[in-house]
Amino acid sequence: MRLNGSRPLLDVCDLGKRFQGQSKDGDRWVVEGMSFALYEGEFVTLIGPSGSGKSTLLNMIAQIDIPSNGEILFRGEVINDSRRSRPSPGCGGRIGYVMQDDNLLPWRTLRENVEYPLVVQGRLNSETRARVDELIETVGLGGFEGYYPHQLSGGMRKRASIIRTLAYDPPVILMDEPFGALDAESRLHIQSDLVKLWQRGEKTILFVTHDINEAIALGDRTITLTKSPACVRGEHVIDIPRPRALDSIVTAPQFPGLFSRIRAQV
Amino acid sequence: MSRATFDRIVFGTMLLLVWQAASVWTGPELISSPLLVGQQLYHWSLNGVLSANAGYTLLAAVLGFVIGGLPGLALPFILRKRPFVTAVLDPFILIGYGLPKVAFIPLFIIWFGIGIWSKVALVASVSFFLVFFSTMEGVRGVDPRLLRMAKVAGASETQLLRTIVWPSALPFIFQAVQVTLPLSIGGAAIAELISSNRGLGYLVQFSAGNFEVTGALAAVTALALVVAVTNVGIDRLHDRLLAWKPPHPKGTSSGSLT
Repeated sequence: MRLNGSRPLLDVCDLGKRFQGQSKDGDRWVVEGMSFALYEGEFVTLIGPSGSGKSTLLNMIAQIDIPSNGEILFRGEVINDSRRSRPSPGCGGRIGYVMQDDNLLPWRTLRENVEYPLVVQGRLNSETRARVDELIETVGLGGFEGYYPHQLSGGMRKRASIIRTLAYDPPVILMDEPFGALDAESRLHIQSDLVKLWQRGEKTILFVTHDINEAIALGDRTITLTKSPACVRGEHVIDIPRPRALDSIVTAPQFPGLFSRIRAQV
Repeated sequence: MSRATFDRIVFGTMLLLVWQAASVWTGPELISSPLLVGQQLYHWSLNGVLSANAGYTLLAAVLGFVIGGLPGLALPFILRKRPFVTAVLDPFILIGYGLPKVAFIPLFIIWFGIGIWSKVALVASVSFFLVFFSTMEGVRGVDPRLLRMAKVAGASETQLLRTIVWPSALPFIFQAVQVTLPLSIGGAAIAELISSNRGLGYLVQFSAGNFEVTGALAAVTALALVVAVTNVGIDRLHDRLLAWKPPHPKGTSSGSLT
């Protein structure tokens, strides 16, 4: 855990989200009374039962959805609350969001896809191009720049979607079960790529997963959520020193204790 | 030569043989033979009749296609964020689509005269609806996940239209062109049948009126050739603009019937 300073980078305060009129007794709260903080440079994993409003939570942080209650602060500034009428998704490039699907644009080549956010933000220049080159090399996609998404494997597309978000350098990156659809081998590969990229860039990552092993292997801290309506159930500091061997994380001496404590909460 | 090309030539030859057999069966006064039709076409191409009339029909078709197609192309993009206006317009557009446009030919002649503009009007009225519905389907079918990704990446509304909605809709727009442009040529010819003194439709009408079956069939054949050449052109453009599309599962070209 790398807590530096007392002020969190991202602060979720008493957040709630209500969807209207689905049950007889009126509205249904999907997220209620959720509070937690992310500190600069942290890798936090979030784990909860399926359908527990994890995606809704990320959508509110990314300003795709407006909360019904509470607020979200970025470096102390309120970026989303229930009074917001026109959300600005991505919070002006400050919050990146890697979703479950790779969402690559099928009519753009791999390189053009990675450059897409830079293009729409008007920031594509020789410096950012060099950054894109470097990221493509780092995740082993060199030589595939000119390929269209349908010509790439699922793992390669996933890598491309991750470096697309890293390329424009948002301080916070949200990830919503990004490796769910991958086979074990490519999953392990991408996990280690992700840790490598995170350690280099001092990014703050909030990573949603339903896999306890993954939550332990990647995170500095794991937050567990309750069943719907979601709120924070517990927090676990993952005290396994880095660099970690992701493929044999279960052999770490701290693992069994962490696993059973987290298991008991989800 | 690919297998498909070879088989197409074989199939085309078979059609010609059937035609020839039918001609022998009924006599050339009723069904002219491919050879006679070929001679007629050769004759027309030498004296300029072919190019003048085919050019006239093609011009009417293309003008009508553009004049009707462009609004049909633009409207779905304008309506995208206006569900209320869309709901109001919807029944009117459906009625307009269902109306038999051929029934308007006499009116088009009253309004636009017997020159090229009445043909253009017919083609435009047909093209508008075909292009509109196809484009609408494309614009409505945009993957919302791609839109969400683009918004989070910082894309403005105009950028969304240009970088997400337009490319998503492009295959549908192309489909519209593939269906509508050949129909436009046919539509222009139909308008010429009713009143004209030029065009391939006029040639059919004029020849048949004089019981010149060879001439009528030659004009129809010329029409078929114009459509065929247009289709090849559309296919080329398709392959160039939509190179990003995954290849067709069976490896046939994009102009296939599937």
